[in-house]
Amino acid sequence: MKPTTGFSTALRRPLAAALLAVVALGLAACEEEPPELRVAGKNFTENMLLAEMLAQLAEREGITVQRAIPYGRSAEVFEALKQGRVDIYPEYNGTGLVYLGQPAMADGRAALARVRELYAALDLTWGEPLGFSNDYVLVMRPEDAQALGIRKISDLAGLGPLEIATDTDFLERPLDGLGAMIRRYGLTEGRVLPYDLDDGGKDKIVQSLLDGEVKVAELFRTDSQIAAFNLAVLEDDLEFFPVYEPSPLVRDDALARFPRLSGAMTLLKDRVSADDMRGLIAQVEQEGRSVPAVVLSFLADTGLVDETAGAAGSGAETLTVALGGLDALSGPAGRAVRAAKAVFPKRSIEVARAANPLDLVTSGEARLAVVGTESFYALADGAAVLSSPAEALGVVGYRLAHVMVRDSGAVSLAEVERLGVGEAGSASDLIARNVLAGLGIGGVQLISGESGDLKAQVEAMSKGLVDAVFVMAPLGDGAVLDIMETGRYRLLSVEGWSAGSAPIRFSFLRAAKVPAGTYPGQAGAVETLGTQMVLAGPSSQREAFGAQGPGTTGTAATQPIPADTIRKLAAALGSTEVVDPAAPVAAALRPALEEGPQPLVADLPTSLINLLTTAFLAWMIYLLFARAPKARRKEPPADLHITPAKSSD
Amino acid sequence: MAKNAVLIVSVALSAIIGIWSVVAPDQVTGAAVALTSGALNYLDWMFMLTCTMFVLLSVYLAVGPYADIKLGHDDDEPEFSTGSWIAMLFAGGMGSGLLFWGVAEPMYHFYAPPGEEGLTTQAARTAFAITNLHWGFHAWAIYGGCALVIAYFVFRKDAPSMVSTPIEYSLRPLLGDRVTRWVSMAADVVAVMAVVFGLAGSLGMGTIMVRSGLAEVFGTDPNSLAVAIGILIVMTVAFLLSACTGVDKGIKILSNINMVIAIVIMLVVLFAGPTTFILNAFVNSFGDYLSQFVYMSFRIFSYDDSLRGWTHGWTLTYLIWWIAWGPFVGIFIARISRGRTIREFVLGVVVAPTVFSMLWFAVFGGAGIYIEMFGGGGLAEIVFEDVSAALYAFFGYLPGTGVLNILAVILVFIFLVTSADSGTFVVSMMTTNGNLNPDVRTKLIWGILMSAITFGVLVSGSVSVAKAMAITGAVPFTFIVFVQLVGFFRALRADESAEVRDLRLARRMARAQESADLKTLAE
Repeated sequence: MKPTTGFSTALRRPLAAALLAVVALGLAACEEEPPELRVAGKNFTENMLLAEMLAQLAEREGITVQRAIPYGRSAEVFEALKQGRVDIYPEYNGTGLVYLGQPAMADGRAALARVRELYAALDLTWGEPLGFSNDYVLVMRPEDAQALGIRKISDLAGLGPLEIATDTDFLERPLDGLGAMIRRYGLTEGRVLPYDLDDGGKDKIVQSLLDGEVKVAELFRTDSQIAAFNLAVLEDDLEFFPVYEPSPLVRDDALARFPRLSGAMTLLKDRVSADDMRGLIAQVEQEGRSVPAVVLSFLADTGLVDETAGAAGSGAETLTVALGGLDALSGPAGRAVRAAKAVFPKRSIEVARAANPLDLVTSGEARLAVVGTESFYALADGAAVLSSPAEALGVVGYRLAHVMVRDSGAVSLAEVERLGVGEAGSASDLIARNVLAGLGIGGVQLISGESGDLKAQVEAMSKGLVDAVFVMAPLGDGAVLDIMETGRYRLLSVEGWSAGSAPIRFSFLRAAKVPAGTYPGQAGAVETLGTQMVLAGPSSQREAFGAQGPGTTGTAATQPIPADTIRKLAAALGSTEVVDPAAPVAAALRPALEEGPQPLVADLPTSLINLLTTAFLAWMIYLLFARAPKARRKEPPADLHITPAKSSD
Repeated sequence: MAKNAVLIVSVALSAIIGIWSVVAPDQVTGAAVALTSGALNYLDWMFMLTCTMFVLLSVYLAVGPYADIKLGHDDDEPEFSTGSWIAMLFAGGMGSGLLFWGVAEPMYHFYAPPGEEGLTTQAARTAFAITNLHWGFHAWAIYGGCALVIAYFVFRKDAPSMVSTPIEYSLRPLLGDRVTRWVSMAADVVAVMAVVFGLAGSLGMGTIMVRSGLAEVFGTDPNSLAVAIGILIVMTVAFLLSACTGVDKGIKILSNINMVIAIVIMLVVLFAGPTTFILNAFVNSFGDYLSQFVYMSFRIFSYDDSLRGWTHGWTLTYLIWWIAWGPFVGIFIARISRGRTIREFVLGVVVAPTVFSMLWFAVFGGAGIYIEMFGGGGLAEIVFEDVSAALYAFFGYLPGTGVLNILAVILVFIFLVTSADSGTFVVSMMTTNGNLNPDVRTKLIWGILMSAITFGVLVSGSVSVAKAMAITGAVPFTFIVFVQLVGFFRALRADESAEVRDLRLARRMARAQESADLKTLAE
């Protein structure tokens, strides 16, 4: 026997035993509860963030986690937990009391002790509180609240039937919902606008309040919109709403299955303040970052996990949206970011800023950019030439040229000697050049700087370093508003645009007016120019072999966005206007043309090429079967560089 | 004399086009694209038919009367073991493409299958069938065909390993000396240029892929030119070293290492990922592919203009891509196939790699589609954004991400080295009058030249030029392949018929003898 054989038999036996053991273990595991921890969350951002925190901390403890974030409405998640379809989710003690028909309690610690006692019978355990309370609040527009003199919920009785926008969950809750509140406060129910939280409900609730459809809306205390829109929060003077402090609510069997879980849950005790939570929610809802990414950076900041621990695969891959230096997230640019968030729900949206955001798209650093239509053009020989390999995917808004001068300053653009245009290469800079070229105004010195900070520019103007500041901004832009409110500046009109050939040479610039009263102290409408703001992405037209297929990819950087996604983006932007014809628009957004009957007779090249090819194929068939002339075969020519084969006879 | 003409003309043309494409990249891309997309628009029927014809020819050759003919003298034995042979086939034929398209391609078709609704269970099945159409029998039958016409003459007739050999050998009596000379010359020049530019293009793209891999693993700058040039230099040194050792050492060893790494990665994804789902997908896609094979092999969507664009962009682009690589991979496969019978050749070059790529796509594509259908999702968008980054993002979903990333970078790098190595080898053969073991000096010259072109591509940033050029060679070469095939079948008929007759006769006599014996026994 060879020594190697003995060795391998010796090896084989333990190997087989090990294999058997693995199989046996696997079978045993199958009979038990699922091997992963099922973490659920309710269908609104705050609860999803908390659920994701639990999930990531559990993963840090080596527990395999299956996420159901979001799972559904409050009642659905609770039911799923009771039935054992999920193991853990963040719940509020106030809600916990209400589920069991208990009276609301204002003291959080007492409420927690009470639910712990009550839920033990259901084999459910309340973990440690996370550190903040998220109560229901009623909000109003500040001007309404002031005008109607309403500070507390009791005051609403004087308003007549209560017209209110709420989430659908609030309508369902029997003890702390709309109906209960109306009964407690003795109000009369009027028109109710319910919104589903699954479907961007918070934004819609706030929108209908801001639009004046309703006077009152229901929100959570931690909702980012309260601060963003400076809403008036009504005092709960009868202490109707219980305290809602979130803690992990977990099945006892899950705690037994994962011994390290309770440790992971305790880590979060009192670590999340209401301010933290408002910040995190704003990151998700305003900036469009993904829940896992926001949670990961929060946990890393608090030192609970190692940031490098791997965001990969958890849906935290970033998608960059490029904005100009002056684009505020509260303005139209923010709408674009939220549209990207809605269309790419699994990606974490990151905002990058550049003088010309389109550059980031063409270099592949950003997937999307918010730009004016002028970005697609380059200025050459006094006219603008379409030059960018990017295209417009949808309409974001409209920017108007605001030329600000001191009250005592120039009265027309021609008088301006030094014009501040902000960041070099920015929309303001480009448009200012185009406008001056179009109006034929020479001799103006354009002053640009490193950054586009508007305040610094206005300061430069007040010091006399520039005579006027040229800025492209949406109508009623916050930053411009702030400056105009000081009352020391006025807007200069841009006139005479349509007199010459400018509208043809700079086709993307359109005459427009800033309506009277848009800015404080503005008596009359101001003539100016504007460009459409569009969402831009890499073009699908440049590539070689049509708009799709392997020929369009492989060179990294800039691959086109699929047509379906473009349509979704355009829809998510919610603009009824279509893209300005001056901008190259994505093929997916162009109207389909009805081509009409086609001619039967093919064009000459088609006929010719096909004729020649067919002839070639026919010739090949002839060559395949043709008989070789005998005579030539006998004497091979001198330059035949191959050795003839031996005949096979 | 003929050899010098080929060398001079092809070097001159390469130089002109090379310089032109650095000076005016847009113009060159425009011209190349016009040729290719024009050919697809006018002649889509012809390309579809040609590619499917290769599959039919393979079947005929594997089961027909010539199946037992040996590529070599009757007593030749295979030069390489079957394992090394298939490893080299893969390294030469598909290389890093498999790695990057493994996840990406099924995902594309799952999202937007032609003429169907995306993201459905039906779309998932269609996605695999289409992917297999693009990477399966057609691809390898084209390679096999291009290789067989060379291998037969080189090893059985001791002719030089040139693209023009079948033409010279069989068609000279029919065409006459002058026409033959011109056709041969055109064939050789087109072949050399197709290889040079195809390789420069894919080296350029490959360098960029390694760069994005390095960025993913080590966090280097993903857009730095310096990093790209560094990669190119290291790669050049590596492939020149490998080239100097000859095909039986350098390429063989590297290809075997590659195959092992690729299989390790595949097994990790298979057994660490959704194993049952993947294996089910494999079995299911096998059936879907086979049952729709005929239908898909002739499908041009001729009644719907927008879907005809899909056929051009995907199916035909892939198929002519394989044709464009034909002169290179064909000659290379021929070189390593000495001593195999035609049946063995077809089974090894067409069937085995096809089954392997189907498994490969079931594993990578299956895991990707699983993430989209049952997992968290979000992978597809990354695929659509950047195919090369998608591979690394995909590894992020699996255990051992770091190791997988590093293995993938190594794999892509070695694939590049073997491609460059076999490319220089093939061009050197073609420019040294079909010498099976070209001298080191020629290989060095071509190797350095090819790196220089790649350098130009990287510096001028005109990767799209390279990409356009890489595929443009397919259009003229399609016509050359026809002439080669005609020459090949004429030679088979003229020179092997007698042998086939002998074989048959011998068999019949043996049977007769047997029955005679039986009769004797019975009596």
